[in-house]
Amino acid sequence: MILRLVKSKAMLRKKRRYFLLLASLWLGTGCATKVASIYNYSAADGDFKTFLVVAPEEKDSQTPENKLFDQRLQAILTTSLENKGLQTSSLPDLYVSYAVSVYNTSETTSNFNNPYGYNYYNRYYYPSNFDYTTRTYKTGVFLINIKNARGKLIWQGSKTFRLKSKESVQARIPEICREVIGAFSLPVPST
Amino acid sequence: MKHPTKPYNDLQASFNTIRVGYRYRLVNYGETSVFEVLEIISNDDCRVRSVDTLEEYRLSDLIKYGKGDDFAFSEE
Repeated sequence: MILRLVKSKAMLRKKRRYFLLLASLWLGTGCATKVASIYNYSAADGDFKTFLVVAPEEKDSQTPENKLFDQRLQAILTTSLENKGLQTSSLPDLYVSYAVSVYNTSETTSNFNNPYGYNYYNRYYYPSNFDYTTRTYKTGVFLINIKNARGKLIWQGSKTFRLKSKESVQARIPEICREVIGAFSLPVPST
Repeated sequence: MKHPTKPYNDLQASFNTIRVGYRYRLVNYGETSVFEVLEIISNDDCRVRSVDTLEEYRLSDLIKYGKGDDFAFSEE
């Protein structure tokens, strides 16, 4: 009898562990978007050995802080591509460029979940502004384009992200940049 | 290429972050165009295909007469 109880408790613990594992997997994959990438195999026909990270056009309105941020992203891209066996060059085989766009978005959701329009205590339901919640957040896209020396796009990687309205974009972008460039692999030369 | 799923609603887009294989909606001078990006030609231009008519054209064709007050560009 005692043995049975101990066994059933152990089973419950195992089930709980599996549930927690599945829940964490679901949260990890379901909440975050994946890196979307495409390869243009018709243009990726050469043997690529060198690259150059092309900085976005400098604007007069760009603050020193933004310039530093750009330099940081360029350093991340350079390091990642060097780790993949490529070398920097002023006359490269590959031109790497990146772009970020961020927009403020608001989402209005209804707080009233009763499908009948009224509840037991409030027989006559009058909709008011209190029944809706508006949340503001930032959505954006981080994109990396890799072109060959003829200017043809050979690889494009991007990731859509969503941040809380007060969350800093500059704090998250380097991590996203690493993730996107991590999805790039050199094309295998056809035999 | 399979059309990627859209993760968030009303995702605004800009011309410098156009993604190949994605669908976009552009509104200009009262005309709405929904298209899929086929190829990026230059930094600001790409070859696209209309989702409704399957006609192929360039993105620059849609804004060659300028941008109207109603101009809007978003991911479909």
